Amino acid sequence: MKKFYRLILRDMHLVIKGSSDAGAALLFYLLAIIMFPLSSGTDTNLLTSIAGGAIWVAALFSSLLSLDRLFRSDFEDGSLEQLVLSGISLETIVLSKCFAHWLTNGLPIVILSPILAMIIGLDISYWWVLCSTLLLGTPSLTLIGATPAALSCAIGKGGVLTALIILPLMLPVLILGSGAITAEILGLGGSGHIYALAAILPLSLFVVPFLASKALRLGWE
Amino acid sequence: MNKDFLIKAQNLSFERSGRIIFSSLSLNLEEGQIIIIKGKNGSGKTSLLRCLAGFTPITSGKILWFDNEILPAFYSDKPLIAWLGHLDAIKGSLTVKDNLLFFAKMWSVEPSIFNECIKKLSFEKFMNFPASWLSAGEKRRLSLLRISFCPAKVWILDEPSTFLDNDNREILIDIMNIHLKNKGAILCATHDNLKVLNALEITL
Amino acid sequence: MQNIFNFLANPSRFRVFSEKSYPYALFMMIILISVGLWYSLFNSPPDYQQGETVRIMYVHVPAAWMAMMVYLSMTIMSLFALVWRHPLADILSKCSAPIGASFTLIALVTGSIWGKPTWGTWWVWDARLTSVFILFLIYMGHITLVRSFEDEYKGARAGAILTLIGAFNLPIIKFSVDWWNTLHQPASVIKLDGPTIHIDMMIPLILMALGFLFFYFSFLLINVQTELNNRKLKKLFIQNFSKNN
Repeated sequence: MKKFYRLILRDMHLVIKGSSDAGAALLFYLLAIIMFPLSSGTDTNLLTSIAGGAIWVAALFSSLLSLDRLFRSDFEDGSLEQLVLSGISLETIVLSKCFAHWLTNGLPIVILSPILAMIIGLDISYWWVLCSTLLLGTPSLTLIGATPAALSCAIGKGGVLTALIILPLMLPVLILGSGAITAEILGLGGSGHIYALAAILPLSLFVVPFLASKALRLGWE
Repeated sequence: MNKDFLIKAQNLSFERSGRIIFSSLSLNLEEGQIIIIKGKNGSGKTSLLRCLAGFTPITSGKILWFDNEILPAFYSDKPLIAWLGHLDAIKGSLTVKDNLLFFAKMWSVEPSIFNECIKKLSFEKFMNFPASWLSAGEKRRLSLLRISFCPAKVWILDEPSTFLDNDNREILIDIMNIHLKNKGAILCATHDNLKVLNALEITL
Repeated sequence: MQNIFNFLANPSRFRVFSEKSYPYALFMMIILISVGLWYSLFNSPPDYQQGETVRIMYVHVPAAWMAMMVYLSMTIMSLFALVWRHPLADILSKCSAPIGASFTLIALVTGSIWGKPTWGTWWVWDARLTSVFILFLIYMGHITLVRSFEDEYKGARAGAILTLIGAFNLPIIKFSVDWWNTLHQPASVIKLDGPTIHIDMMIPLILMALGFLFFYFSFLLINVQTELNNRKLKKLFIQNFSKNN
């Protein structure tokens, strides 16, 4: 347990020292949301109806950008090998990296979402649904993207290929998350969507570390 | 047949992309012993060491680490095997001190041993540098420093003397001898002629 | 069962097996699809609401079934490759992917053609159509991933890992018409209390489905042979090259 915390502290330390692009991903979150009013005109009714989806899409892209480098730096400089020989299982390493990623990407997304809701004109009464779907959904996004990130270490180059693979896998989370907000706006009740989102999280927590560590080992072969 | 082998490898063969890299290889590593693996470029020295360190699975054969079929280092608290490979595992944006302290804390190393090793490799002046300022040779020495305070019994070293000048080579040999005297064991692949006591040579 | 898996684990034995059996599979496919087409086009009743356009169902439904069945078999093969380390399982999985992707595309296109006269629209984003579209994207991602590795052994194993991640989509497709109110009709054949479709329509459907199944078998065998031959050629080339140097 202590080692888990040490790993997370180390990743946080690296973020602070600027050797990761967590800040850039968050800036992209803000930039992506601005594109919606800019491209669709300033008709407030139109914007309000797509607001939930737009914020979710921006969150998705922001996650996507920073996930590619989830394991790459440790894999490429040999730190992963040292960590594994220090008695930490690859599954623990995967989980700690995902948690650190969520702390630097997912959690800020949740915290910044009211500001984005203001930018795009989402009514204040729906902010609660927005935040809860993002809170439940962003950890799943991180976890779902971890396996393709590990696979991209095995390939050696990432970029568009990783995004191509991650995107279809993230679509159900996107559909449920933005669907919850739209359902609330239409008065249909988004609780079903939220329950489904809540079910995806433990499922991914269970499956992803196993598969991602297999992918990292594949990279070592 | 004494059962005190730290690593026992029987009849190993390794294949990559359908190409056989090495086959029918056996070796046994005891306490206080060093096995030096020599061979031409591409003969599979690095692959062999990586298999023995547990990173790559072998195609056929059996490896027993401390009489276990699954590398216990992956499931134990303290490191049992230390690895020094081509990659340095140094984070450039952190200071030298932070880099080393992370592993020292991870491995529960006593501060006295930690400081002693720093003194031995004369690294005090570098402690507060960002690690990216170090040259290739200094980075190598940093990895050596890290391995010297690692409590692992078995050291697996892949070309440890690259980037080291003659003085530092002597220090490397010195460290290796001390480790062997402390009942450690070393598996080393090198082109260089390292004059270490009790060396057993295997050529691939 | 154990013996069959062990028997087929050897690549050269598998190659002999596949070379002998794929002509039979091709033959069965031709017979079943021909008879099935005859039944679908001529020997089955037109729908009381849709008229003759219902006959697209005899291509659309079996293609959709096969799209899911191929992914299901890829998932099982990937489990064999990763958990039990079966040496040929990841090759089987790799070679199934293009066939599955084609079935998915056929299902999507024929469904779209069928939807225009019956629903009035080429496409709608309901749960069933969206999840099948996601399946198509997962297939395409799989195909791209496997071929982006220079080492094809690693590529096949990476494909196995990706298949397992994408397997969550299958229950979503199957149950989407039950969980959500969709435009797509609910299940009428594979249900807990038996099929609710008339026997005159069942026969061509089953025939076409079996025909597509044998299509999968024959082309899977052909693909696997090609893959094994490619690997062997590369091995021989490398051996020859290093011998001459």
